[in-house]
Amino acid sequence: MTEASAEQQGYLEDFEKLAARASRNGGAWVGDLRRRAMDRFRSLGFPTTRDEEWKYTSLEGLRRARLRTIDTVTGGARRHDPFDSGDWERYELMFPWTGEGKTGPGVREGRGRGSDAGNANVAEKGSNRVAAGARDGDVFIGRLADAVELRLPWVEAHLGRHADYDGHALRALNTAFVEDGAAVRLGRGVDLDRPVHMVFLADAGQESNRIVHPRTLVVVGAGSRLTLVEAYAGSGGAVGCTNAVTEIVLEDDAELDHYRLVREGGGTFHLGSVQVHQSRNSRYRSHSVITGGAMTRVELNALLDGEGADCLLQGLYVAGGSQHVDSRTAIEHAKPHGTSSELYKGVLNDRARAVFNGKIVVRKEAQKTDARQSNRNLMLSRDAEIDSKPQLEILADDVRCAHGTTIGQLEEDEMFYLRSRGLDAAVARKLLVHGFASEILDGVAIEPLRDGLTNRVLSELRA
Amino acid sequence: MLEVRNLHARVEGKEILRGIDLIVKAGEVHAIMGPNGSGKSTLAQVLAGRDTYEVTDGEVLYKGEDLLEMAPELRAVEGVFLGFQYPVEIPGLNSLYFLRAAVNAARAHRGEEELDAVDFMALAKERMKAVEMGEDLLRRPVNAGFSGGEKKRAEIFQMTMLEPTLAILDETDSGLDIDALKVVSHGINLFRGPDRAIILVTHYQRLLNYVVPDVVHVIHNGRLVKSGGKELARELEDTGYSWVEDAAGKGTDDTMGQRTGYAADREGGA
Repeated sequence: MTEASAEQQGYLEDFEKLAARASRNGGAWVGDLRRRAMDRFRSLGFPTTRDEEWKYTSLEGLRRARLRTIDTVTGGARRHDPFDSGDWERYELMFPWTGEGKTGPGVREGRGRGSDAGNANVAEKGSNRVAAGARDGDVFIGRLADAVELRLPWVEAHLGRHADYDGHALRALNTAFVEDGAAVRLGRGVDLDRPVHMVFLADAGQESNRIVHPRTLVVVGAGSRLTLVEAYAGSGGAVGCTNAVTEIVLEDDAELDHYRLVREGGGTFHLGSVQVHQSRNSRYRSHSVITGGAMTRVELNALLDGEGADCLLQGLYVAGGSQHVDSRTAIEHAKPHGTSSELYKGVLNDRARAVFNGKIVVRKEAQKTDARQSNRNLMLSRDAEIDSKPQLEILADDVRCAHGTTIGQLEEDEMFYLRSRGLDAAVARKLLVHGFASEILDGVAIEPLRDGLTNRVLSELRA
Repeated sequence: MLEVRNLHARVEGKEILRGIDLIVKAGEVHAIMGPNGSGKSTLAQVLAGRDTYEVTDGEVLYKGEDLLEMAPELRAVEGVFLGFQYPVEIPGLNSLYFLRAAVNAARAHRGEEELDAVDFMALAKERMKAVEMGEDLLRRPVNAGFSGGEKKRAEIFQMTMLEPTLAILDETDSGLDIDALKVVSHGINLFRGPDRAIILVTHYQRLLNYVVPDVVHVIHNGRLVKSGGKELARELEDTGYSWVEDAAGKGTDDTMGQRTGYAADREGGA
């Protein structure tokens, strides 16, 4: 075993505490998984800018900060809606990583404003929900800790099996601390009657130098359909880190609309990693929106491991001040007749810096693949920077692949047109930025959520 | 309403307007005609406040105020409207939302209450009929994917919604077939009134068959070289711009080339 470096020491201590506490929960395999992952993190250490994959994004600040892991999901089930998205029906899972106590979140059937804890329409429902029309046991929406403790067979079958941590220090770290987060599973042929809304709230206002490792497992059974909103939010400027891993499994003909929303506090590092495994004819649609935070990096990897799988990735990143935002996607076509379509858009102001890296791999047997990728950036300031890099690895010969990148400013013609109609420069700018972002935001099918996100994006840019 | 005195403007060091003098009174319709490159579109853009053009000399008074000192948006809410020769497509910006924001900006400036969505829609529907514009266009992004004719109708529709006092219509007739030309002309004629003035910037006489001007000016090499009544437009139609150039004594190779282009355009457009 390699000697742990000084920056790893705190993580090791926290890990041993967790291992001692959680040793009897959920069977030996979880403990083994944690320990293997911790060993891996020890040998990998934090990535540096000498690693090709981290060339443009430095974790130096994170290493120096010597963060300590928050034990587990704590605090009450305080409701919070980071995008103030108002009234829409949903199953809610709240993860407030803050305060003291061990009550943990429950599932709520929610309808109403997120921040209103006393809302009469909200009822505590326990963690195991059965949707209308589904057979008992077909649907689980709840805490990962509960799913582990109940020894549900699909947890062991999938947790840690898809999000490979072998060469990935941050995933290894998350896996080492895997304890709680969200778990959602639909059995065969379930069309859930409303979206699942999970909120991970890292309120670093009082506790500085904390890191959390939320883990989410989503299994959508054959022919089932799910809409998932996975939101990460924080407030305050204290230094902290969210190191999240989400594993998603789509069985044959399954369908998932996945909204992954980040709105962290000003001092927060958000490191997110999503791994999607797609079986035959499954459809995955991702809508990623990133605002806020000191440094955000979200990696999204989809493996199209069945014929005719379809993958749509839409992303919007918005950054100002000295924020840094890094979007990294990898779509791997492993079987024939797969389709993927990707559009990531960025709006950058002030001295913000963004990175986009979009990789498409078409394996030799993945004939008749149709893959498109586009990255478009709107620069509102001369001092903002973008590094955009498409990466294609095409090993099959009968495929269609296209990619493109644009980097531009607000069009002078468009500004003048709007101003000549009586709109002042600030309003004209706001409308044009909104127009640019709307291509992504319009893809948000939950209307109140779309409005909340739109407001958030515009206020972030002070546009 | 509008007084332009000795207006000079240039772009990228090249002088385009070389001393324009023009007085437009309320209730009047003026046509400014000239060949390509004569400066007529530049004049329209300078009056609307486009800052790519640098005004080097002269002054412009609008209702007695210094127009050149005003930002484009202030000119607009004060009642100056430019109908664009090439209306800009703005994907992602909803037409309805945009136009309501524009109408309400002008209303707020006048100290009037803003129109809510319902009242705005009722007004829009009524005004769209006048230019025979399909309502579906309003649900689309601004000018996005509109045909040439649809864009011009949309400009006139915007004008009737914004109710300016001075409308400068830059080649609103170009690219229109005869039916569309009649519709657009009808919209302009409905808009005419004793408190309003219109400047029609055009290459061709044919718009003026439908929107009959009070005064016609001929612009050449950045100056208004001749002014007259509506019969001047007819004269231009018959003789082309060559006599203007001869009269101005500046028939360079450059302008001769443009004249040829004009004749070719005319045949194509007729």
